[in-house]
Amino acid sequence: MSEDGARRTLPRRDWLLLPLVAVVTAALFLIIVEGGSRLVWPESKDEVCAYNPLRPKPNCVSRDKAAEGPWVEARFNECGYRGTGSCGAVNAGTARLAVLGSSTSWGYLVPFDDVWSMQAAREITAKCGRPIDVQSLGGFGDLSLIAARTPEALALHPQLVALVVAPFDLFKLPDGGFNPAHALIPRPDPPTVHPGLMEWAKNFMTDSRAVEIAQHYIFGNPDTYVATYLHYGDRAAFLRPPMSEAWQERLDVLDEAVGYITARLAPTGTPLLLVYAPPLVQADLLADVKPAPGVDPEAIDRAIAQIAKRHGALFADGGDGFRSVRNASNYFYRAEGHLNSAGQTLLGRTAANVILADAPSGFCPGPAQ
Amino acid sequence: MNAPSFQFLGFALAGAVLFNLSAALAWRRLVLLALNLAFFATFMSGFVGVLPFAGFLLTGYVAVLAQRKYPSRGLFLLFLVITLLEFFWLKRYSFIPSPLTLHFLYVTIGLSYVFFRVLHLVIEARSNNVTAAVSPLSYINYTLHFPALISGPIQLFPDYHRMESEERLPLDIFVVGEAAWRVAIGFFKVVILSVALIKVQQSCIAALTPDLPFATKTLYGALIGAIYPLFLYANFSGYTDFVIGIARLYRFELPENFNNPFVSENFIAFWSRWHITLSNWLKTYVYTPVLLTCMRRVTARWAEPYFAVLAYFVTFFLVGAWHGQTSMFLFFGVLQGGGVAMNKLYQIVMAQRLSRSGYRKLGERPLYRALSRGLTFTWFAFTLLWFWSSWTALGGFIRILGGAALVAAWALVFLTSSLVLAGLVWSQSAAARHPTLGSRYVRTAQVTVMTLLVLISVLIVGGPAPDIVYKNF
Repeated sequence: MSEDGARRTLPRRDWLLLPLVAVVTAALFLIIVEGGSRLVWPESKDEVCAYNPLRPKPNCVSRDKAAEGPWVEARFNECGYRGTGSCGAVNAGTARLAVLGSSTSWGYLVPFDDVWSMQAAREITAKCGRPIDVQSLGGFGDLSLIAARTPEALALHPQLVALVVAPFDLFKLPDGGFNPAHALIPRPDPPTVHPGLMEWAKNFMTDSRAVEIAQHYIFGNPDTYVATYLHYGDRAAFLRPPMSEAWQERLDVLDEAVGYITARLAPTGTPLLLVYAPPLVQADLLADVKPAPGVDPEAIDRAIAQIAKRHGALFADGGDGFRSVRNASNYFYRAEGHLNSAGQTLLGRTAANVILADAPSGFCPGPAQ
Repeated sequence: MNAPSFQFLGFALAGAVLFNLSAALAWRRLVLLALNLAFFATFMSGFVGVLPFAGFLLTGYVAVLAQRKYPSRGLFLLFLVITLLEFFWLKRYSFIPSPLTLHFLYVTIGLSYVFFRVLHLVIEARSNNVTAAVSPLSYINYTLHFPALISGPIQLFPDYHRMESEERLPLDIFVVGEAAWRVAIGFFKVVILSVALIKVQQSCIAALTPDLPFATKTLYGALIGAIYPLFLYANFSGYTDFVIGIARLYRFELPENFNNPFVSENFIAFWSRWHITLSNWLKTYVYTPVLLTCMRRVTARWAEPYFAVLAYFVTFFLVGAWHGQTSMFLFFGVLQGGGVAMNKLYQIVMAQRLSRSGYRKLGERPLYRALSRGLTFTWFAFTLLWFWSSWTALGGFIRILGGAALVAAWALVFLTSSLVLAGLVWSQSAAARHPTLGSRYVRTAQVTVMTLLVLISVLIVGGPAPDIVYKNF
């Protein structure tokens, strides 16, 4: 029993007590860390304005916050769009940009003034002297749902329609394939499923603020993040050409969606601007990290550029902006995944350059200053 | 491979399992040799780059063998000079002409610490009880002992040899627990504490501008000066804790290098608590010979205490100067030697003026003790300016702070450290009265928290393990 004797033995109870002390301490520590993280980095993603079928409520105001970012107020007008103002007719002399897409398109968790479309609008106005009204129709839906809202966009009589896509949007294919006609039919809520232990643990990790904050710092190291991400298999396969079967299928759906939208815009002569928003891993590869053999960070950009070209759409490659920056992770909510204000600014600049270079006459009638 | 790091820990744990598979001496020596060479190889960039280091080790071994066979003072002095010159040459000391230095990349990892081990053997070579035990295998294992290779501690050969071959220290659950405690605390000090401290100091340096208000400049100046010794302690003692814990799994007890140094009440006592193995080595091989030589040459009794002042100066000048090859480190040595010598002189004068008992009584007064602690810390922090800074940077600090803020900053360091260290001593004695605070249950909880913090920190930072300052020496 003694620790001083030549033959020391640990009391039997300690074989149980010591591991128990370690487990209880670890549990208490994690609770304190989680509580502290929630206190220091609050987050609110109630999305009070979102409702079935995944589009914001009209005349709704939500106040959201990513743990990694500031509080952001999102105002939706009488049409449920995040816009410069009313979705009604614009004044003579004002051009209108209608934006389709999911969360990145309307600047989820980013102040509206910092959203890419507003940044681009300001730049174009500065160059062409024409005010631009922005109406973002975006929600959280898949490509079928996004494309299904083209008539709504057209009803705004825009001079330009933009479609924003990111690999997140492509990753989950629409149920039953691309079918915009079916997309707008409200669906019943899925039945509540009680998670098993593993699912609960997974949810706990996903929802943990401490994990999110840890990820924020870990993902700030581009080498670590890229090396980790490249192990994700299918999620990372868009970085390894030739495209896998799954990614080819996703690109085919995008091809269908772009074809569907351009076909509906064609009778009015409204051009489509396809905007590609790269994810953090791709931005890291473009800005900071030398790609490993077999990794091509621009493969997906080229594939999407071909789709745009095939359908006569303009193409703004969001990856362009990251080629000239360092620390690409500063342009993202790293753990959350979306572009932050700085990232949206880069995207807006790229889009403005494309619009100014290949501008439809309705957008920039005079010579650029 | 850096220590401490999880990579090193994995390597050391796997090695410990292998090492303890058999109690046979040959097995343990061979496993240790393999581990020492494997660890050393992680710093190699090619075969040629290891030759100078190998040559240095070979010279040391030849010196031991030669003196064993032909013990003579002349041979000893010859090998002493060769070993010293070889060390200065490999470390590219500034007085070695550049054309004579080697102009290719070669390994010098831990060379300063290997130098002390080799020099110890060269000096002791004439004593049969040491050299008789120095077989080639023991020599390599002793000089390249992987837990202590990078930055010590400096273990003397008889101590090493006893644990390597004669006395097989026990390895039970308590020892493993103690080792885990040292490893965890070492990791915590290096990965969390030292990194946090140096970041605060760097932020203060970055924020220090001439247009700041006087009070802010004083505060930043005080923080810049006072944080570095804390950082250095966390960094170096953390490394030492870690390697002591690792070595214990190999049934070796490495000597302690730190013993609560900031509670020292004078600079001489400080150096018996800070980098203990280095100062002990130099006390043995420099202080005592210098003192004895002086006393042999001058027999006047009144002069004896002053010989100690001289011997202290020489010894601690060498402690400082050993750290580097530039004028900054020479001056650092002057300040170390000067500090210890002045301290000894003060003790002599005070003992003469107050009598021994009067001086002892003065030293027992709480206020005197607290201010002495503060002064010791402040002096050490001040001398370290020549350790971590440069002449240009020091000039910059003086220009930005100005004379008044500079004096105020050091006065603030002195007063604050006196107060804080008095609190530390009080809390340590209070903790000592509650043995439950040191129980294995409390320690288990502490190890758990420190391990989790280190894991989180390593995951978040994602980079290589922080470097040990003394790795460069």
